[in-house]
Amino acid sequence: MLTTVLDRLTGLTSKYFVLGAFVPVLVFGFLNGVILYLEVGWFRAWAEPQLSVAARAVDVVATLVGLAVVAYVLWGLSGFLRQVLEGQHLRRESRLAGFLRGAQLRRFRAARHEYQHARDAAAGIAAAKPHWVDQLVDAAIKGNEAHAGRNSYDGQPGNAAADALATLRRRRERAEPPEPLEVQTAVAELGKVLAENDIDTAPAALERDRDDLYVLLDYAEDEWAAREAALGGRLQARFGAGAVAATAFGNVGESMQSYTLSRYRLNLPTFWSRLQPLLQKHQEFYAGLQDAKVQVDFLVSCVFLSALTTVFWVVALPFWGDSVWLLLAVLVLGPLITWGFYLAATENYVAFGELVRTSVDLYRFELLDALHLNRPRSLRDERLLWNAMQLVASSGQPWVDLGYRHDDTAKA
Amino acid sequence: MVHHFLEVPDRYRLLYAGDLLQARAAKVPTVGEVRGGHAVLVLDDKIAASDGLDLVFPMRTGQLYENMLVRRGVDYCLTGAAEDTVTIVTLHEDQGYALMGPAYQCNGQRKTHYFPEPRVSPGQRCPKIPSCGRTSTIEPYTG
Repeated sequence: MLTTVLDRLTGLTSKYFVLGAFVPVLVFGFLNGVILYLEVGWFRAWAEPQLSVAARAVDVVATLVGLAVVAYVLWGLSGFLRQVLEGQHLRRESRLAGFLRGAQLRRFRAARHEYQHARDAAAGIAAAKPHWVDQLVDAAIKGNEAHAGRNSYDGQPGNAAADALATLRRRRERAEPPEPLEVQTAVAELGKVLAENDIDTAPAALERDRDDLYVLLDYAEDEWAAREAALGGRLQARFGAGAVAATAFGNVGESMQSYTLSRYRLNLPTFWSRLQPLLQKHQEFYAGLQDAKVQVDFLVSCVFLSALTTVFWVVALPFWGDSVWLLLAVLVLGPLITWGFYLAATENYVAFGELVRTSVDLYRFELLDALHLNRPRSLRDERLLWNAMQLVASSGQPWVDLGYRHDDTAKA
Repeated sequence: MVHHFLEVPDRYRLLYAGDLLQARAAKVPTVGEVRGGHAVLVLDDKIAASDGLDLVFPMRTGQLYENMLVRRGVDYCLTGAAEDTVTIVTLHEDQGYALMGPAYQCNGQRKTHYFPEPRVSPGQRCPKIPSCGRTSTIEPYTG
């Protein structure tokens, strides 16, 4: 029966509706049905015959159709629900908005601080590394000249240089980048040892530790560079360039707009709907984009359905229910599940945002072609063009003029 | 650039081309006697299954590989071998670059040092001075 209804629904509507709205409603409808069955007598009396083999098909179909209608309403509200999660409907001056924004601002500052630290460390180590190598070479020459045939370094713990190297090795074992100060200390300490001993004389611990320090310098340089790129990407994917939004979900939304605006001066809310028909020509990419979108819609639906379910039963169970345990379970699990769905929705929104950025990077010139506009020769020209287009699209500025192309030369 | 896997019972050791050239210059008679190198874990189906590792496309499970290598305390693992080609996964990206990058040598008068490890660039002073002399610089490996 259910399979038939799902097939019918899939035939009548898109799979995106079925996955993005109907399935969540069905799941939460079932969950609410279980609670009703456990706690409410009239519902149990109605439901028990439905569980038998000779179920009343009319009731089951009516229930499924009812759920489908609810799902369709939810589908229609998906844009609004997304805006709610983005915090767009919070009054900016409200205490709740201020509280939420404060938390996001702290997250943003922490992420930005982490990125800036990685950036500075990467730049600092890359700039200092040639000097550090020179410093070690000079120290080795000095030790070789001044203390020929004498080498007392055994590399055992307790020696400042050996300990500083051990710190760097520990960092590498844990796959952590060493702090620049730790690297600098190791270079300085081993430099002192090199200047006081002849590295060409046994034991080989000094040569081994010096060679290992060189490898650790490479490691530090690469790890910080990789960390800078990763943290920069994270900052770009999760926060916009302007003021922070009240929610993490909202900041992911901001990040999409600020990316296209800062790179190309392309205002995404204005041009996204115009770009979408052109993306449909690229079937594989568009299917991926739609799949990512439906995952976001599915999880956004789940956030609201789980929140509504929790609130409803927390209010209703003290009046209708007999079991304290069920009320406690709803009180504890409800918020946890809602929060889990919210986190998952945010992560999927990040993935969707990556695809949106990619689609703008790859296909924005096709939009210019479709609008019969010349493709710009440079990034600067492109920024001026999108800026002018924005003025026309948003307020129809009469003083903006753009030349049209009606032949294939538009693609030249 | 050719690197070498030194096989000893149940484990492998990766010798960079620089290690081998250094050993050849020092007239080390057998590969087994070459010093240095890096421990390599040989991945079998059991480890791959328990850690959820993709042996065919390692990049698909990159994070799981990183966790596994950190947990086992090695920087390299061998995921496959066919004739003279092997697939290895490194813990850090720079180790991959070292395997794929060009070889260098110093023009020392007393001794020649070979690289890719540590990373060097042509024209810089040899980082292993003074054993090769006091003025040697780096140049591309000439064979």
